[in-house]
Amino acid sequence: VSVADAYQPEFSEPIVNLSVAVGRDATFRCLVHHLGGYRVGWVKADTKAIQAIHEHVITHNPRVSVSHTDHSTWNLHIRGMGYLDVVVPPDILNEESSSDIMAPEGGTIKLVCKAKGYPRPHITWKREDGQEIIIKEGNTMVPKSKVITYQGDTLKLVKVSRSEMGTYLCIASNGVPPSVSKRITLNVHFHPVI
Amino acid sequence: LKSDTYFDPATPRNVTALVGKSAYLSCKVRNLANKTVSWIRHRDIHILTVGSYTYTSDQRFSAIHRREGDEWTLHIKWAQKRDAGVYECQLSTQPVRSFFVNLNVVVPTAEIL
Repeated sequence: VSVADAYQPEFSEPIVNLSVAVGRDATFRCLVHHLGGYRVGWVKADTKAIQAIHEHVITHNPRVSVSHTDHSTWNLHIRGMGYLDVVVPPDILNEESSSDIMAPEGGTIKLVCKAKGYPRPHITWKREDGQEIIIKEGNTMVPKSKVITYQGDTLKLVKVSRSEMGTYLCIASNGVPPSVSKRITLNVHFHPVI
Repeated sequence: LKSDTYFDPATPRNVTALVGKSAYLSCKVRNLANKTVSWIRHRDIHILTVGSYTYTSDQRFSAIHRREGDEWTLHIKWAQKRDAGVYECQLSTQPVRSFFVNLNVVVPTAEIL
């Protein structure tokens, strides 16, 4: 520590929050004025784990390294992983989701679509042909509604009619590209009509 | 057989020092190997010492290393009331291991009966 320097060091810019996908590298940059004989240290705020001081990496995390381009710009590199927000694109869990389904006319079915990812993906249902989805409650007193998209893991189709036959798309998205979708075909069988 | 790094459980977790005198916070580590022992002040997450290097510019702080028993003692000269609080002895394991020591700073008083 140099006492000879008249100036005290100052941060010239705040440290920017980062958001990176799993597996990507992250670099934090610390910009300082008049560093003089002082040293830049990096501490992980939640665990207070010392990462590095000056040019020395203290942590035994092999993915952490430091560099500096000049006396004003000091970098902390984290290889292969994010830090604040580790985001994971959505992935549909096929074994927990519905496959093509056959239902008798007038029956009630549930189409299920589960996905993993971070942040937690939300599920949107659409009909592939662009037709509206008919939402009815089990209770006949509640009027039905028609929607182009429906949000939720489970799409309950009450008293299905032959017009609801077709391919339904479940789309899992969480803001991290790419969004993924699954096609589920609903076949409605009915008595022969003359 | 790889031996694990750990803190000597007999190390005091509560230390009382007198105002104006030196305070000593001990941190005894077993099987330190190539890891570093650091001292951090919790009040402001201020790094005080890393190994035998003093990081803070407050020159009252230093780390004393006794090789026998791998003991890293934080020495605070001229302890002040504001120095009271929690200090962390941190090992650079992955993830880190921490030993917390609470420092009390008291003013000695005497009464004539």
